[in-house]
Amino acid sequence: MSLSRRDFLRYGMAAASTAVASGGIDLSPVEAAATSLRIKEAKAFPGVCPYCAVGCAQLIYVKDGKIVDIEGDPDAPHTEGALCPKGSSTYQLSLNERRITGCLYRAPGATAWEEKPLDWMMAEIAQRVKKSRDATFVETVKVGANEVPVNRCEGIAWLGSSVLDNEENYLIAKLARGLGLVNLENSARLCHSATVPALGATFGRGAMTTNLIDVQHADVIMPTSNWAECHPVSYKWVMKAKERGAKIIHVDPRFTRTSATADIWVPIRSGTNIVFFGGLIRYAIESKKYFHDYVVAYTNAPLLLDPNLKTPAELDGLFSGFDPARRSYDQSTWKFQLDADGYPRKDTTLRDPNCVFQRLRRHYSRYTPEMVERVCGIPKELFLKVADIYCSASGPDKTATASYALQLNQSTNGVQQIRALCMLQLILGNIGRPGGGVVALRGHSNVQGATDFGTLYHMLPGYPAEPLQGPHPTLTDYLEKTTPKGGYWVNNPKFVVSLLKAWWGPAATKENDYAYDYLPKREKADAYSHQHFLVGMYEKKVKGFICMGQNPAVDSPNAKMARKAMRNLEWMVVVDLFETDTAAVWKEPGVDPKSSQVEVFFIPGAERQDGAAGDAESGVDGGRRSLRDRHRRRLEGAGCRSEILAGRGLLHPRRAGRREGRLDHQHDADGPVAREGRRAARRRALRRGVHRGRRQPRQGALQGFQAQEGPAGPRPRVGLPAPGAQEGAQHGAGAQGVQRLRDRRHRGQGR
Amino acid sequence: MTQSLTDHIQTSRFVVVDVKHAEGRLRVRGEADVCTELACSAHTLVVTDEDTKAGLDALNPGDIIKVEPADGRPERIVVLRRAWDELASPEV
Repeated sequence: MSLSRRDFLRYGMAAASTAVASGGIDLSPVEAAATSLRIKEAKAFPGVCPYCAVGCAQLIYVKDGKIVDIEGDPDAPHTEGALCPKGSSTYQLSLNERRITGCLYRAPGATAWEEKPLDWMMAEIAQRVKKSRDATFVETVKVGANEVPVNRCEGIAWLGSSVLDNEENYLIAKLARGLGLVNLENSARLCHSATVPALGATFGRGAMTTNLIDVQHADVIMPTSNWAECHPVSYKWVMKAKERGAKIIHVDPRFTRTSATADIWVPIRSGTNIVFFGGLIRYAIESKKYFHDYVVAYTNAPLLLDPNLKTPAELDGLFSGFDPARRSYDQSTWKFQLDADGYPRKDTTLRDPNCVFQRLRRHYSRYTPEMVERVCGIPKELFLKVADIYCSASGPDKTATASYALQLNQSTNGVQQIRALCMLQLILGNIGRPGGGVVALRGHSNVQGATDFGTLYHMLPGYPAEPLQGPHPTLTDYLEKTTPKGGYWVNNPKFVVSLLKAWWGPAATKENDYAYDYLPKREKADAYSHQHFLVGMYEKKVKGFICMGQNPAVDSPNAKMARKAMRNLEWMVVVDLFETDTAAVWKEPGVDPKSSQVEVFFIPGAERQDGAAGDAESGVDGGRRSLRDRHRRRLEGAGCRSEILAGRGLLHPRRAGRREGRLDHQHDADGPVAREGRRAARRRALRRGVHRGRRQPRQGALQGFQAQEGPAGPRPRVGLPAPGAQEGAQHGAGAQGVQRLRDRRHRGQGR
Repeated sequence: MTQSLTDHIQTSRFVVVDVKHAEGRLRVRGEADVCTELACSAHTLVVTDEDTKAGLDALNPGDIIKVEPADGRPERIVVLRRAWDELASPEV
């Protein structure tokens, strides 16, 4: 039965009227009619909303190869079926008539796009990549008396994105490193960049310490961003806490919808949160509202610092060891006092003047309510009231949660602001306890995954450091200098060797240090970031640019310079849904297209609801990283291709030509890149069976994912199967077949 | 049994516990949490990322080092990680 919207309303009203007239309200006929609307006979696929970092679970209904509806997934624990207006509109994003579905090419100096077949585009792009790589590739450099292999290409930059999947980001990271690219970034660099060092140095890793659901257990919640509007679905947990009697203190210069739900709105001068947090730390310490037992047992507050270490409170804003001539620090006083066995000395009474707690107390002693009033513009009485409420949520039976978003991250002192908030939560005992935590509200749905999978210039997938040419000429040097003496990361050699084996396959042997030399070596630590390579483009040192799912013409700091820089490129590849400002940088208003010789290749990207892959989120599952699968949907006539396929097809040796064994091997049909695509398909098949509980894997199917002791020990946590692992053996043939079919299908679209 | 690379990296490095400049001795802690005193000569070279110098002045308690011996005495001490790098390591 087909039912129009008008029919539905008519029947619904009639049914409701009948029910009411008969003395009761029975809406079941209306519900029955509703379920036979456009989702009738459609197949539902799980998906993840592409917008904010709440990562709302979606059900995507597909009928006849087309998305017919998208709604919230009621089974999702953190969203319970809710979607905000943005999430609800993803249907329009997928089927937007302005989406570009064919490949576009802009020749140097041309004034308009030309439509081109995909295969032509891929072949041309491969040639540009090869040409720029050949022209700028550095094989070795002289470091001291030694010739060090660096295998580095500085002439090409690649920008991934936090809206790409884990698989896409992993493949980008792998392919870029295989080419020797060091200019590699994703939008996490501009987004929560300050979060990672602040939370990482404080808690051990740069992700939020709790999960969104747990917020309901807090006694006091202090949002410092516009949580209710920017991450609306997760705000339900704040409201649940409020229903329990929790107090909400909203600290924001603007009165927003978050303020409207709060018990207290604290207007604060923009950029002064660090003083506000400092004032709270001082208040907690001086009024003895800190959680003493927690602080002694679970923080480094009792450890004794070197007496020669001086802090900014003592040296007018500088730490000890500053050399004004070099504008850098001699850090030799920055250490703990050690006992005879080499372990830090402690004072559990917290009274020693050199213990961390007393140093903290002295440092924050100047953050008085008067100072907060003067700097933040918060009246002293209001500050004291807020401080009393917030700091009272401490102790064995109370907790408080504080949240932030980009307003702290994108401040000039973002790391310090977030670190101050972290220290406040630690002295109040609000970490690792129900309802307590630091809630970092991210901007994109897969910031965590993009970062975990290493599309950042300074680290490899799984967080080992990207090697440097000076201190890390050999694998042994690299491992000795990057592996700490204690903690989980003593396993760093296992992680690195397993990654090298997964990337270089049989070419990685113990005798050749697992082909460590193939990894590009950075010239120095402070280079190759988003801003660095834009300057490189501006100076015409970077010749080519691949941009997937990001729009640096708009979102870069100093965007005008960024646009000028991109017009200086020789070639640029943009993979996106729409003609972004980046893709159209050569014809922006006020610019004569003929003045720019940049050659632009635009490849239409697949929207997140079109494809299948996984996201890693840190806010969903108890503060642990949570993998979220999006199942495969096949949409006919879209003409768009997933970035993962764009990446795979980009540098096939048949297109790029063969130059050296390294490239040949990686991109052979049976090389690591091709194999990795097949493995990813097998892993997804397995994960679906495990996580969704719909198809249980057969016994032994997960064996390949367990730690395997081999010559290099267990595989890294990034989950790469070791060559020859048993994983997926029972699913392998089918998954490979699916992968081949998908490859053929996508290749065929371009013809 | 063959030692794995991970074990080798851990066992070949020491943590500096104390530097006795006057006596030319170095107290270090090894993998098994056992401390040892090393006798150094005035010619012992200490290699850091910045430079190479004779004497123990460049060493700090907490530094992670590798000792390259000759004739039973430390001839070269290579500083692999500084104490403050180790403290800043998020996983420690």
